[in-house]
Amino acid sequence: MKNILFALLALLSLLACEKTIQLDLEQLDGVLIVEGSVNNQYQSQVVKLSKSRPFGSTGKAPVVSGAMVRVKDDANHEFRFVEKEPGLYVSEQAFAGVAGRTYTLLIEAEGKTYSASEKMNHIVDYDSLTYRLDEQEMKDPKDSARFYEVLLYVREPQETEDFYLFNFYRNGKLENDEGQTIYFSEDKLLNGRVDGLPFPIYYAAHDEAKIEILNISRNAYKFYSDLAANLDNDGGMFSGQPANVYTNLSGGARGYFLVAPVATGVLKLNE
Amino acid sequence: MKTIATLVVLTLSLGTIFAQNAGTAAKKQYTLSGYIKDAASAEELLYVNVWVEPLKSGVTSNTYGFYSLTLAPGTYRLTFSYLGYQSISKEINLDRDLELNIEMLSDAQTLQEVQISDKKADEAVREVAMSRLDVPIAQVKKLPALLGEPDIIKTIQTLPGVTSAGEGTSSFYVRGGAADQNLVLIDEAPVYDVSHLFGLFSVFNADILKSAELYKGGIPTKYGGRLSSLLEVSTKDGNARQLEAAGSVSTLAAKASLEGPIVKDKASFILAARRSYVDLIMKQIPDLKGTGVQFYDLNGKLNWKINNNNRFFLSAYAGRDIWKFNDDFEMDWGNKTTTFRWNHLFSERLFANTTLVYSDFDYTLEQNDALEGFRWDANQKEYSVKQDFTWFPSPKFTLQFGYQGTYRQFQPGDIQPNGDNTIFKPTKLQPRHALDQALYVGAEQKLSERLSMQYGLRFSLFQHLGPETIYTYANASDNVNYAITDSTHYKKGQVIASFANPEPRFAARYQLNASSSLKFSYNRMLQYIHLLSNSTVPIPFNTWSPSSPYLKPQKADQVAIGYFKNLDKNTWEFSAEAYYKASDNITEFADNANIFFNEHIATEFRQGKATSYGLELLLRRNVGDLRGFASYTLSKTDVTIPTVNNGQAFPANYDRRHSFNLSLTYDLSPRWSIGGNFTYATGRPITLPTGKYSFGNYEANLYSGRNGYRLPDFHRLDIAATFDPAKNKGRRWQNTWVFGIYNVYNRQNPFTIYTRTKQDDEGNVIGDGTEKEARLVYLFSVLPYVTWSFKF
Repeated sequence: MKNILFALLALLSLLACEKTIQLDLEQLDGVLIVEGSVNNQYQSQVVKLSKSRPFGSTGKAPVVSGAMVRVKDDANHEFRFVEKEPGLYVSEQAFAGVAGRTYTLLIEAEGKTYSASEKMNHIVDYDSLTYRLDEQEMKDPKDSARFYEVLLYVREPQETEDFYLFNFYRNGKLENDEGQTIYFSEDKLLNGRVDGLPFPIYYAAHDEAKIEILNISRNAYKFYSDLAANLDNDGGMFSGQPANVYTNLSGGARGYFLVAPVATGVLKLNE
Repeated sequence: MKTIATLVVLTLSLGTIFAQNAGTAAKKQYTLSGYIKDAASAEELLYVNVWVEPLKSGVTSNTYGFYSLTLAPGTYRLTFSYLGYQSISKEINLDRDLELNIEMLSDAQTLQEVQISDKKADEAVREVAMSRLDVPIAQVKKLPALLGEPDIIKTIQTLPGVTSAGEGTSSFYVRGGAADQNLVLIDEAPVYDVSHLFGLFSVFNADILKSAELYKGGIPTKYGGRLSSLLEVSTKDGNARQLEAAGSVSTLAAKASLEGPIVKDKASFILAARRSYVDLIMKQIPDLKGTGVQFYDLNGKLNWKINNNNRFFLSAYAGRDIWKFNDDFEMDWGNKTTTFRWNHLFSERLFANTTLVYSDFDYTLEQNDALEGFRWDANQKEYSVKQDFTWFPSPKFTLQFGYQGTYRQFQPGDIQPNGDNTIFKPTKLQPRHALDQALYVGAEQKLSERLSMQYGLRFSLFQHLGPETIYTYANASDNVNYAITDSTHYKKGQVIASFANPEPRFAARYQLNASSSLKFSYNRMLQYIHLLSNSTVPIPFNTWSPSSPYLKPQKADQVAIGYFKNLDKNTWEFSAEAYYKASDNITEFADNANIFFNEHIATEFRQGKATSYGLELLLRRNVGDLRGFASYTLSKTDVTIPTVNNGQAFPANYDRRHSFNLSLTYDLSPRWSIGGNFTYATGRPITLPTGKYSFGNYEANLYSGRNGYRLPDFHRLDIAATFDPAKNKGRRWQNTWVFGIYNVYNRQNPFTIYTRTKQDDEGNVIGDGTEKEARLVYLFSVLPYVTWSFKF
């Protein structure tokens, strides 16, 4: 559906003009923004705390320091987090999230408490990656020398209802159209076989391609689909009315506490 | 099914009783009846005034051009008057039942020499109906139009009480109602999507239209099914006297029509086609190979008037938009309608109308790709039977009654993979079914010379039927964690949910003097089908849903009062109307609702209340060299939906406080006429961010309320000049040139505001990617156009 709206906007852009304007907007107090995750890798898990800020503001988000951050699971484990850099909290000890277990994030910051819970899913059965030269792209590459396509092979379990988030990397750098595109999917239309699905980005010879497939919850899918709608909204004309993104945090904070296993595929282009 | 049978039998037997009554009643009175038509084309004329002296009373012809008057024996002077036509007076000696068919000459046929007659249409003052506006089709063609394509919907958007979401859209909003609350009928068949090119143009080809009437309130009992308005569009019957061809070429589209007699004065046909040719131009551009946008409309109609007692009519419409992108993606959508009608006179006093209607809206999205290729189809169909009777026992009393039954099928989505190596599986949403029925009776009664009333009741019954599996949710209003606790399968035809409602309607007119009147109306409307759209302007990929266990019927009560005054011997019509409308169970959606291909869309529904009130002023001149109208609307619409905007009231998306329109045409000489539009409206409400936050390298907007801001005001001036080469006058071959300019003073009218990461003109992100900017989109700069049309 998003493609269609893009096509429509492309047509309108033939007729339409646009200009940047200054908005006279209400200024509200910042709310706590949480970006936390627990995955299935044995590592220090990370929680970032920051604040929302006025729409027209410049610079990075103000961080929230001095908070107390903990994660508990439903098997009586508790993991304490320490502030490694201002606003960046990491677990004191490395730990890996276990499939089937529910993790709860507890935050005490600036005199208020916040929490979020999510259950860890089973990992997706990642198969392999290949690559090939895209002749059409080679004729007219958007970025010179980048005309290799990397293809994904994966089996999607049909007996469960699954939701996925994809992260694509080029030489270790996350590529998401500079924060403007999110790659996520549900499985209700999939038949289980993904044989050679091209990555949405092109690679140059000798690049390292990496994909992360996160098997996320229905709630996390809602968060990412809302986030995509929030980023793409046309002002409610043809798209839905602009609205806040779903959050699993209680206590008035926004953002998301993501508990999901990650499957990683890496391919070095040898040509 | 038993209920339907009972209703049908009841209606038919009522009809028979009236027929017998009419036939056997003692002949103390006689009936004068007939059809009124255009002298040149034999086209039936609707709502013609028939004035009876010395009774000082009158009737109007119905939507089929039929009138009937039952009077005591005697001598009467009848005056037939109709806007844009020469009035006809006839002395009648009524000593038996008389059939009197009238043919009227239009001003145009008399080369506009006749302008003044003693009886001008004072119908606006005299009729009981209020809140009803006719769209002058002939004038619409002289008014400036976007890309030279005259469009009645664009004119409707300028009428008092009607607002639009912005230019370049075909949605209209009547008295605070949503876009899906308008029943749009073409020859009695509903049209579900009236837009081409996402609303730049409507599906109505102005060349084939005979009339268009918009009811904003005081809706007759015969109609129901939508909360806010009824737009009844009728197409021409086809010239029953001589063969006529017409065509036109505009900046956007070409049109052609052919009409003529099959049997002179008895049977006629009309065929019309319209096609845009943007795609033909695009084909010439190598970069756009395989990309094209086009739409077409086909209208056809057959009429067979055996005699005054039996007339048959078959009308069909099909239109489609087809969009192609790079040969690998295609989307298309359109409506198909068919109407078969039989008008039958059981007696001079009992007019019957039997109609069968089929209407279909569908869309397809198709992607060609080995892996990600698919074809997505969605459609909805309806089959209706209507049996309407009008009984004319006396000039003081008219009774309308009848039955309507509609069977509806909804296919909200069916996805089939079409690639060799596809990742998709065939997936289909459950089709849905409903039976929609209504019985109605409505009377129009003249209580005294001053006071007339219309009153009646419509009783509607809506049944959501199987086959379908209905889920039970632990929390149906949680669109994330709804938790299915149970499911029930209903068999084909089994009733899943049933809704029955009486819909009372009332209207009264009190004549203050010969040129002014006061009017009042009340109506209750029910709407049982809901458009699944959470945008301001619906897109063609929105489907409809029947009322169901999770979706209550929408209900509205409206009262309106009006003052109507004609000035300077009916040259000017003035009206002032005030209304108040309260609606219940208005269908809205959760924030960020997923309305596409969602099997559990029931969890996205949010229903609430809307209140709307306003004042509408209209000054209109329909005769002479200068014609047109000025309208002003003051209105307010608030919506309260639990869980949306924290349950607080917010202005509806299309709420506009002030709206002013001036629309004029002026005949400078027999060869030249000019037309102009000026439109002003308060900007529409919009939701703007009150903050932003970072998540990863994404910058999300933070909102604190719905529709808390407004776009800047909208205003625009358009002008057009129509040139009729004089040498053509009187000849069969006629041609016309229209030259126009849209948005004369190049106002950058806001269409919407969206936000994005701060970028330069090439789309490169400026700075660290955390800065955002607001962009104002405006559509049409100054746009000149030319249209050439011909007729022979």
